[in-house]
Amino acid sequence: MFWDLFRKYLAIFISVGIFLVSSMFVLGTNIYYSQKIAESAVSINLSGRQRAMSQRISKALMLVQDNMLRGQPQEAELRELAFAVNIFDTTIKGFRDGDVVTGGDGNPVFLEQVETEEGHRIVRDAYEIWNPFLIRLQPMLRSPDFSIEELEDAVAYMRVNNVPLFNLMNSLTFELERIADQRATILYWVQVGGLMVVLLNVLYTVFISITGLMRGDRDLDRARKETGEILGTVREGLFLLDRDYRLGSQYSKSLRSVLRRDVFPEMPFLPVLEEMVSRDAYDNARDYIELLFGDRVKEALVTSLNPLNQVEVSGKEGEEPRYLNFNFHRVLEEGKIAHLLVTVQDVTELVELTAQLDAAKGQSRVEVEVLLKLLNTDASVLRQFLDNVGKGLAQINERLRSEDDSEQARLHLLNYIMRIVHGIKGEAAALNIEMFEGYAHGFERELVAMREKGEVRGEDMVRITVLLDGFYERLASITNIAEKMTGSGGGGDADEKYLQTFTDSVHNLVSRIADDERKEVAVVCDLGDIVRLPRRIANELNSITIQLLRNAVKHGIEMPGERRAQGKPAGGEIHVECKEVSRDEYEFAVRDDGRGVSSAKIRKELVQKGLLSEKDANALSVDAVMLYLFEPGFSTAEEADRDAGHGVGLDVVAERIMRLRGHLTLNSKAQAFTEFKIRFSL
Amino acid sequence: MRLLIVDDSSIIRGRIARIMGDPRLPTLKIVGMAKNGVEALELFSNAQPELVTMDLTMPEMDGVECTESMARLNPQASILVVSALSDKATAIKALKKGAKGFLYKPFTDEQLIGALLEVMS
Amino acid sequence: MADITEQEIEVFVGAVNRYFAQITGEKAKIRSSFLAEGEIRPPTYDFTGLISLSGRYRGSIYFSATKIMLMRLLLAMQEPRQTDAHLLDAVGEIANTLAGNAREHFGEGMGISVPITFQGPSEQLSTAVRERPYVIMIKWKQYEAAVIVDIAKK
Repeated sequence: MFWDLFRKYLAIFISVGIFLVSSMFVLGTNIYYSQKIAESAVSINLSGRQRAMSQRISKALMLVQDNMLRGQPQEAELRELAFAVNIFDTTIKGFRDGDVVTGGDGNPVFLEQVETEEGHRIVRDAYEIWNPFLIRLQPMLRSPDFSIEELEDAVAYMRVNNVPLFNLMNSLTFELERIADQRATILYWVQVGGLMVVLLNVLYTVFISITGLMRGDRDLDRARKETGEILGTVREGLFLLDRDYRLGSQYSKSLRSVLRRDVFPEMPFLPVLEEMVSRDAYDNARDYIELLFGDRVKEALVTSLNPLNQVEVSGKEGEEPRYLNFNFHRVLEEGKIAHLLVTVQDVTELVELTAQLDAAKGQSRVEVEVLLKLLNTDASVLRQFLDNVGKGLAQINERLRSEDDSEQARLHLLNYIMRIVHGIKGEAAALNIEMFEGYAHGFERELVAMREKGEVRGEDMVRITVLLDGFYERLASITNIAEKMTGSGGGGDADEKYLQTFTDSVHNLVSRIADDERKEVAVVCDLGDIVRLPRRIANELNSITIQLLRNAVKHGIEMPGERRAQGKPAGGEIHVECKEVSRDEYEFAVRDDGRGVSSAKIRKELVQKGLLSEKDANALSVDAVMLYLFEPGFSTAEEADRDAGHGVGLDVVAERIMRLRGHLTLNSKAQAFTEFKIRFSL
Repeated sequence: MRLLIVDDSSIIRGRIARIMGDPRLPTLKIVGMAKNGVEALELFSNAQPELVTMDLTMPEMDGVECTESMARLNPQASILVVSALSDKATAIKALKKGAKGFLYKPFTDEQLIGALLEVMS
Repeated sequence: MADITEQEIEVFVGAVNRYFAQITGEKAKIRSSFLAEGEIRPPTYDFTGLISLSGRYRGSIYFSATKIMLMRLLLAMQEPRQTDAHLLDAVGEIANTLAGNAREHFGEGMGISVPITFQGPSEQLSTAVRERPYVIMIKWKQYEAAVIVDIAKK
């Protein structure tokens, strides 16, 4: 964090650093050279005084000599001499070594040592003249009782050296002035240089800041544009929620359409939500959002509890309810939860589709159409049918309780249930009760799927139980209607009516299947004797007829073109007969003039299904092959639909014939006919 | 760390207590076991546990109410709800009232240890 | 009356599977499933835990198991105490777990009572809200139990 900031502002730090260092440098050199220039001023001043002092010494010495010759008192002159010598001597020492000397104003002042080579030479030369001069002046300075020789010696030296000394002091002054000039120049350039550095630094800083700002603006601009593009095109509603539960300033364009509400920055979110969802969902959502903003509970745990998943949203008056998915994610800033990023999706289609699928799976819906059909059905036949269904379902439920959960037993159970369901399906089709027929068909298809999986699991048993419950519900609702219908209906000859219904059911079924198959089939019924049978047996026969008719239309009768090619009439014919052949001996037959049962086709099928090896299949007699038609799970129809092909059908027939203690014969001739004949006695 | 176990089933109380010896967990001292909310609150004020496992479906004051009272008495206490109630609304409610974590029954020993470590962190 | 879907029955089947898998590491099998209809009464074993429902649903869910299964389950939980009281506790806790887990699907609107437990057959079990309550027979190892789902929407 700190380093990021540091890097970001590095340029600024550098320029401030440069400014500080250069200012210090300029200030420092300024003070130093100002000091030096002040010192130069002192030096120049004192070296000028030195010039004057050399003349004052000469003049004083001459006056002393004058007065001595005239014998006049010369106290003042001697004092003047001593003063001038003292000043000159200390000052020149100062120039040589640097020292405190008496200033021009009489106060002590520091005199710096002469710096340059030239300066040193001048001072050295001056010393060579001054030192011998000072020795010669000593007697006059020590006491007034000096000898005339001593004085003349000094004066003689002075006369020779006065001018050179004066000139040297003059040179010194020039030299010092030159040094001072030099110092002033340095100071000037330092100041100019410093100023330049500061100026460049300012320019640099301004440049950095402006380019930085410009880049920042550009980045911000681009980011804003990109965000804008994302928010403009994303299909979900997308927004940030702050700690006051208000919307951020930016949100996706589609948010409005997803919420179907006006949206504006800083909009309080909770009132909107409250308006949209149920009380419960709102309360949960409010708590949930509060939890997300708190940091006590980890996000992963909270996220899994989102109560606004597929939440139902009430529309405006007259609008269908919709379903929305809200998803919330914590947005951290410096480790603190600053916002929640919220996405909203409209999942109405998905939810509705799921609901439709569920509904299609079958909840009891008694349709008007069904009611109308029921009204056209003979009440006693309907009651008989419903009774049969009830018994069938009870049988299924009884067998479901089976203790045996071996694989073998389960497959057995499956086949058993399939037979019953298939039977119900056939009867429902005959009575044209499509609600039952369709449900039974669906039931059957699921059973087939389970059987084909090869392994019937416990969960499949639960599934069957649920389907069974659904069947019971349908049964209950139709029974209810049937009961209401009883009392009306009635009248007429019961036998006649029964016969009529039986024949109608045969015609209905055949014409429906023939339509589905695009075949032309006529039925000829000779069923007069059926009314002499007990109804229980007649109903069994009805169930058997249904299966046999399915087979006849589906497998027996050929397509019209095929028939014509064989020189047959395009329309097939099925005969259904029931005759009392002798006392209490009956013969029931279903015969079609189709292609006949092909033992070769059955053999092929047996091998293909892996039920027999090719060798074994070929070894079977024709009769033995035909028997396989009545095995559960065997079917020669290519595709499963509600009329055949689930491998249930003839096994149902076989079972029912067994119940009748009847005897079945199958006669068939290739390209000519198939006849199922059942003989039974009461 | 002091632990209070709240569950109406003695079997669950026993299971949770047995897990406490696991080396992955810090040393936990069981300071009490309660079979309903009223008992739990009493033990909570007396024994001052830092960690609580809390069932929700209990006779005499349910777990949500109990969690709320505990959180009010000591907001620092870490309360882990251990319940079979698997609907979102209940979990949100319990968390809002002050629970720090939620573990669904049935749980394995590993899941319980994981959940305890999570609420303690 | 068609107010319970296959999905909803599967919620309970799922809860049973999860329970045994989590607690014992070994899945339970569904031995059979049928409807308690007409003469067919729901079975009861030695111990039964019943959860009655309130709120948006009515009816009950119960779990009934043989004594030996419960003893074996307690062993799997390393519970050394195996008195009848503990077996009742266990059967109640299982019923509570199954019902509690079902709230994931049914939501908090399905109120759940604390478990009512009893030993042997009981009168309380014969009151049904469904025409045909669901019976799911469970087998775990070689031991038997049953889950009975008798729920309806209010």
